[in-house]
Amino acid sequence: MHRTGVECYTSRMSHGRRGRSKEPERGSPLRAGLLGLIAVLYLFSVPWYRADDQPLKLLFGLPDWVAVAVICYGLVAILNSLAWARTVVDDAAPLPDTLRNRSDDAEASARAREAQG
Amino acid sequence: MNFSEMGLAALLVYVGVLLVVGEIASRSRRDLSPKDHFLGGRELGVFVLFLTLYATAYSGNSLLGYPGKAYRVGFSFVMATGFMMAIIVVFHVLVPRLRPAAVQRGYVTPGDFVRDRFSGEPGSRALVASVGILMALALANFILAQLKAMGDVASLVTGDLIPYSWGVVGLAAMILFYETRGGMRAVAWTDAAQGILMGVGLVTLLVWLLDGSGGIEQITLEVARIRPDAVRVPDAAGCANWFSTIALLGLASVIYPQAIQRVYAAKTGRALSQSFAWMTFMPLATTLVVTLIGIAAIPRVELAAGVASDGVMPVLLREWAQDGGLGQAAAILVFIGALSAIMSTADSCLLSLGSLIVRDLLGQRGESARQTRMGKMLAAAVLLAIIPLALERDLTLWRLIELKMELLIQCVPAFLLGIHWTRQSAMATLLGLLAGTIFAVSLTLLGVTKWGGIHVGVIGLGLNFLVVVAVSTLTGSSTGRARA
Repeated sequence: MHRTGVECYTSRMSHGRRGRSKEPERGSPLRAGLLGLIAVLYLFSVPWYRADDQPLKLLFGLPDWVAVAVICYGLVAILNSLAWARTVVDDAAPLPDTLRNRSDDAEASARAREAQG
Repeated sequence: MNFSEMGLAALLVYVGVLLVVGEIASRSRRDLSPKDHFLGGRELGVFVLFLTLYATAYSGNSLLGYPGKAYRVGFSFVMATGFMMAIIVVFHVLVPRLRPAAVQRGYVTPGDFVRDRFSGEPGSRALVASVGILMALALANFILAQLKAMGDVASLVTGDLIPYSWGVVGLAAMILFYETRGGMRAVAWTDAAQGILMGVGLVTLLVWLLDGSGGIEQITLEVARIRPDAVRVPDAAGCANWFSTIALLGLASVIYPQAIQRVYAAKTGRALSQSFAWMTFMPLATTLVVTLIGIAAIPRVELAAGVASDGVMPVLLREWAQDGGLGQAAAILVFIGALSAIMSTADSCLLSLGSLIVRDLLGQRGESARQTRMGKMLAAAVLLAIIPLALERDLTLWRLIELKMELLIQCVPAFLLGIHWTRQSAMATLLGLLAGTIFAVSLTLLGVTKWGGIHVGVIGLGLNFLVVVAVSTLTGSSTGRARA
């Protein structure tokens, strides 16, 4: 049977494996915010909002639109690094629903076979 | 000793070191199981994992293909920094869920996940085989690009004392030797040394270029004078291509079989997230650097468009070597660094290919030494089959990357959507994969590579997603229905 995220979390707490952790890829508004900011930076790194016939202007020795892209990617690197620092990749975490149900199904089938046998 | 003789000596020393590392790795193995050979017994710690991820991600394409592309198109190729970084961003969607499953269910190949996720559903076996075929083709293409680049570099660093064809064959044999002897351990350890060499070499080259050209501002002004198109803001199609390339490489690279296997091979999940936290900075230290190197070459050298422009980096290095003394030694260091990058990617691909053929295409599972042996032999056979193709030199490295990605990206829904959406069915995923692949391959064969700047592979992925969502919603997987 499918378990909710709260049940999963409680289950892990009761097993004493990850008292400090939340769901690996959920439950951190900061991490979600960082990933949202990264998406915005990607949007602005591409100069779709600039006229393609404008004269060359330099910023830090580069064409200004290139410098903007480099700055965006620099910020993406910092934010993404922080996001990975906030990401708990827990080898003992409960499997996602997409896979957990497979084991539930397999166990149920095995039990059914045993019962029939 | 002249440049060619020094280059030959450096190459021989380098190859000797690789063979020794391969032998040490071989003696460090625990057993002959696929897990030990293909995943290094899941023992890669933060430092080695970071360096092997780095050396594998940055290949002959990065070192020769990217400067060539930057030389051809100019500053708009700064997009490369964005797409290389996008890979580490997109991993957020996959890794936190895939890694625990890989450890708990004992995955060795990407197909192990697909088999597990869609097990028991109609079409699941065909889906595993289709994903395996696309991945095997992409890996073979990747190995082909590396062999071509290896031959080029060996010929250039030795001043043709080692001709292109000897370089391809000889270095391929070296890779085969240490990869089959030491497996993932040999690959990861040599990757670590190769990653350090590559990083040091590239930064040294950029410093020399900037110093010799009067700084970045002077280079930009010179480029603007010689080739105004290279500094111009991209038009609408150029911007669409920028977004498309980020999507193509950012999404497809995440499901590189060799990348997924490193996710499996990490010692702990924490080591993995720490490695990614460092890896995200590497596009700035590598891709941006090679892009600037390609652009800095515009005022310095004149090369024909197409395949010849992939030679921009070697041409610069030979020019550097002509300064003599320190310049000569530094140029050889960069050459060997480039060769390292190329070989580290080729060995990773070969290792993945062997495991993928045995487990995902031939359906051999379990932990026996026989499967490991079979994987080694099949990888060797594929390598031998690819070598003649590598002796043909008529495609740019960049085009080879695009071709590979357009195939690989069609596997994205099976992984990125499949790990999150319970209702997704095997049959829907298979139909989507086939629709996207047929669309992308057909247009490519007709000579259409982009529509309005967007790669046909990315449009194919859109079609692929639509089919997966529509068919899954209408039919749904057995698990999804059971839960509903």
